[in-house]
Amino acid sequence: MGRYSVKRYKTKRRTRDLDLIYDDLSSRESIMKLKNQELDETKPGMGQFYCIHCAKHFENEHAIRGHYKSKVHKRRLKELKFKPYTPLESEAASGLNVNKFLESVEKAKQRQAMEQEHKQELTELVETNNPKGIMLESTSEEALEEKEVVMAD
Amino acid sequence: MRIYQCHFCSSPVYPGHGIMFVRNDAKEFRFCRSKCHKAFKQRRNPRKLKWTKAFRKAAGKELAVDSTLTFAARRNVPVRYNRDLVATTLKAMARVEEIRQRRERAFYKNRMKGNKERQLALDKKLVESNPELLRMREVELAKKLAKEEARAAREQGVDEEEEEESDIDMESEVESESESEQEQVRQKVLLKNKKRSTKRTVL
Repeated sequence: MGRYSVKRYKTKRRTRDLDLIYDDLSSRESIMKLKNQELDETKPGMGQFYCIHCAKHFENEHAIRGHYKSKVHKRRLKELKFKPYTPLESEAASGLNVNKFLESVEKAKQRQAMEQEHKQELTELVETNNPKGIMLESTSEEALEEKEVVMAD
Repeated sequence: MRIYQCHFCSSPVYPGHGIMFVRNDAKEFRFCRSKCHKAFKQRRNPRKLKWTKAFRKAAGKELAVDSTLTFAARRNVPVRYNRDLVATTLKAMARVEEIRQRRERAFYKNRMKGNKERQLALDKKLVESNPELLRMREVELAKKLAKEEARAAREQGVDEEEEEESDIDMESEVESESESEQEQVRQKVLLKNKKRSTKRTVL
């Protein structure tokens, strides 16, 4: 996780938790939704270059490609290989809601098997940017203009 | 009043203790002490820290899957008060606890089974791979033996001397019949010392 810095660990700067990201990656629909985000001026790269694993927006295609090859991203992939720790597990460890937890473990196992089957397809889906994003390079200016027009109206 | 579980170490969090973090998806995370809270903020994985319950369960140190553990659960269904129901529940709780403890003990015993043999095998392997350890022992033994021999030799020498001075001893013994054995021994020693000193002077 890099060097220790207090700033990073303030809850004010808390980034998306692993269990939420795990849920993000759970279904094709949620992946597609995150990959096809609406244009948003407040986000880097208009919210078009989003790495789901690291919950991070990038400026452009080049940046996100570089990120996919980076150590940080690979480490995150490794962390997300297994079912992340959830409040449910902490309760089960002290003997509360054990059945519910065991069910979730079963589900996670099935999911892992599924992911193994469609591994290549899924990684492609996750790593290629949305059709919108690919189109964006050519049409971004037009889209911007359109938006401006809407704003002006 | 409710007793919650610490999100990190799974220990009970009593009212007025610990701290709670509410994530922006409205999930609550309770922590029993600042140690757990800090670890959470640093994104440590409780499954990888040996002091947490989650580790102990995940690593097979404790009974994790058992029918006696499935009773405690949040049901979200209100139950109308019923005296008989309460009585039977209390009875069942005690009984379940008893069974759980027995199973946990059995689990522990099973886990520790064969530890002695394993340790012995490890020791053997250690000795085989490091033969100098045994030689050290041999050296020690040899030293001990040499010491003992030296002591025996000295004692033998003393015995011979004693034989020489037996007639003197006899005389002394006759003198001190009423005295206890210990005192006799002491006298002997004294006599020996005297003799030695005389020998030395002669030499």
